[in-house]
Amino acid sequence: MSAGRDGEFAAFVHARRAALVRLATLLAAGDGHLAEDLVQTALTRLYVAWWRVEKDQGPEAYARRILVNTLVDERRRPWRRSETSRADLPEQPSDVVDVENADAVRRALAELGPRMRAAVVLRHWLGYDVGECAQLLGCSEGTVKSQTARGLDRLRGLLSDDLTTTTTSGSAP
Amino acid sequence: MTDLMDLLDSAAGRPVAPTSQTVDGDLRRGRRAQLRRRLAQGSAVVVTGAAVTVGAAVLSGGGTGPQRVGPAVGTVKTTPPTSSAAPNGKTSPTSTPTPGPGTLVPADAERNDRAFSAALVPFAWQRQQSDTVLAFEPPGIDTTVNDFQDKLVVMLAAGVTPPSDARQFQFGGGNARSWTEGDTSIYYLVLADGRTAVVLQVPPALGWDDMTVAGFAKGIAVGPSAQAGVG
Repeated sequence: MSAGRDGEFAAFVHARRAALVRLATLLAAGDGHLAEDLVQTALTRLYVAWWRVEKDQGPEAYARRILVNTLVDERRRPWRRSETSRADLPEQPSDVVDVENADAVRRALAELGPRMRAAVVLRHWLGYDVGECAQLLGCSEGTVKSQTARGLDRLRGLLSDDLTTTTTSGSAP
Repeated sequence: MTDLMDLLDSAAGRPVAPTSQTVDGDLRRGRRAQLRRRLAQGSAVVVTGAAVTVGAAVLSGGGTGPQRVGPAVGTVKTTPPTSSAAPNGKTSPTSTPTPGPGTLVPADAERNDRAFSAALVPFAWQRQQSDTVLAFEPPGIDTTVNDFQDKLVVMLAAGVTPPSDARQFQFGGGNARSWTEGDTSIYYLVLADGRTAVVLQVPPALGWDDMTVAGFAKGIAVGPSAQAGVG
């Protein structure tokens, strides 16, 4: 445990934890408890790997990777899947009022599988390109494209038919 | 038209800056994981080595009764409760009615009927214990037993291989090793039976030297209910 690592890690947490929580909130489809668990797991692993990560991919990229991987691993467990079923999922496309409601978006995200949700969030919120998404998710670029396309179709069906996307690289919050 | 990025941005919630307590919690979890990882790595090395080294130091959670850590080769001067001591745990030539925080004093006997027991404890440090760990936290700190930050910690280890540059010193008729993680000292000591190993984390706040650590370790006993706390 070095003072250098502690100081640098604390500074990173101060500066970037809020952004990680927001990303985790989307990945967890609005499940605040799961989002906090994901962030804590990511930060704990980040601390242990701090020196290696700092020289390699950078702490935020590493933390994002852990968030996604932990989410996917969690959702692979049967007990986890049974917990995530929701009784109030929208059966029909929501009206404009619902679309403007953040909770409606979270409910719609919950309808996507974790990998598909992660692909949509990484691509259309963080602005990752297809290659970056594929690398982070550990799959092919073709899989990213198909997962993203199917995810968008599903969201359009749940939220709004005129949903548009603007994938601006580097626009990560 | 509805832009997905705007929707996702809304669904992500408003950014909330972490409090200092939150950051401290993240730091504590990280440090704890780092310590466990180091111990687990050491365990793996020793388990491998045990296949070819009969009599290698291994953890022994069983046994018929408490096993006391062997005496130090040197003589450690402990401080009775009424004698003086510097705040860092070392004895002081002047006399005051109350020992300083961290000074070794005799433990309450009723607290020793556990997996771990200690004959001497740091004065004013709060004792915590479970079947996997004996810990003492500094005055004014209130955390769970499994939070190791800034604490004096005693754990069984299924053997720990110290770093190659770890210091050696004599303890209990054998070689003890010590190394540092940042400003925290780690000690690897083998019980008098030659099989049971304990690992001590000694925080800098105690200011203990090897002799003081040996004096504390000499009073440690491990009961049959003790379990390895690694992993």
